[in-house]
Amino acid sequence: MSQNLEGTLRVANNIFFKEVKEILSSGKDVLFTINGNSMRPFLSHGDKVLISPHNYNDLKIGKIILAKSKFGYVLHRLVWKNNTKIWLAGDNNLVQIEEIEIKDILGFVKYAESNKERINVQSFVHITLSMLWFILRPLRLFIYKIKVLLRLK
Amino acid sequence: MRLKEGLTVRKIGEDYVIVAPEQGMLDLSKVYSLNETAAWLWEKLEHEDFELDHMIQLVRDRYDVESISTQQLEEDMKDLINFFKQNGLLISE
Repeated sequence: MSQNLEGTLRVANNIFFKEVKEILSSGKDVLFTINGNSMRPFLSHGDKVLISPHNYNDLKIGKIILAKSKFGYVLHRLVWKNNTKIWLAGDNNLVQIEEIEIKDILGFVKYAESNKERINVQSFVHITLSMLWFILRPLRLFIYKIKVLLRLK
Repeated sequence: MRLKEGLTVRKIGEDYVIVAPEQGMLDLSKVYSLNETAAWLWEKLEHEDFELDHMIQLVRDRYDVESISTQQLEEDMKDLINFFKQNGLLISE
């Protein structure tokens, strides 16, 4: 995710996010370019996101969260939570869900930018559509499997 | 010449980058990478008018560059000035 389209910052993810964490801890927001397509169709590779420091009330279902998971740093959507943990899912993923300790959360996305156009990821419409998209996972998985089968034959 | 105001050098891992902090926000989507010497020079040259000779003198004073010809050093500094220019990091020439 640290790769950069406009500048030339090419550092390892863990170094980049350590820096992001430090900036967020000082109470500032951070803007960076996302790398990868795990949040498609809602966010794509090359879009920018503004991350803000969070408090517990910001951790609502449907919000996009930056956190450290077992698989490294992820920028995925909050799909469930309890008092100590949250569960994240990439919009584009069909099965995987990441279980995250609250302490491993870095911040949440306040807004995104795609080709200089602002995407209000906290709007009611965005959150409703994205959660509907998540609920459709079994159907999306089914369609995906059918496609794979058709391709094989 | 003069460097653009309001930018700061940050060390991220082993890299030095120039970032533009805005009110309550840091933009890491648009950064300029510098090597250690260039980062050091940036901090020396900030907030003042300078010339090519000034840059060469600063580097000569700080680093052991006896082995490097003035011509080579001049070329390097010109490259750096061009990099600043191309990225809009100079406010006057």
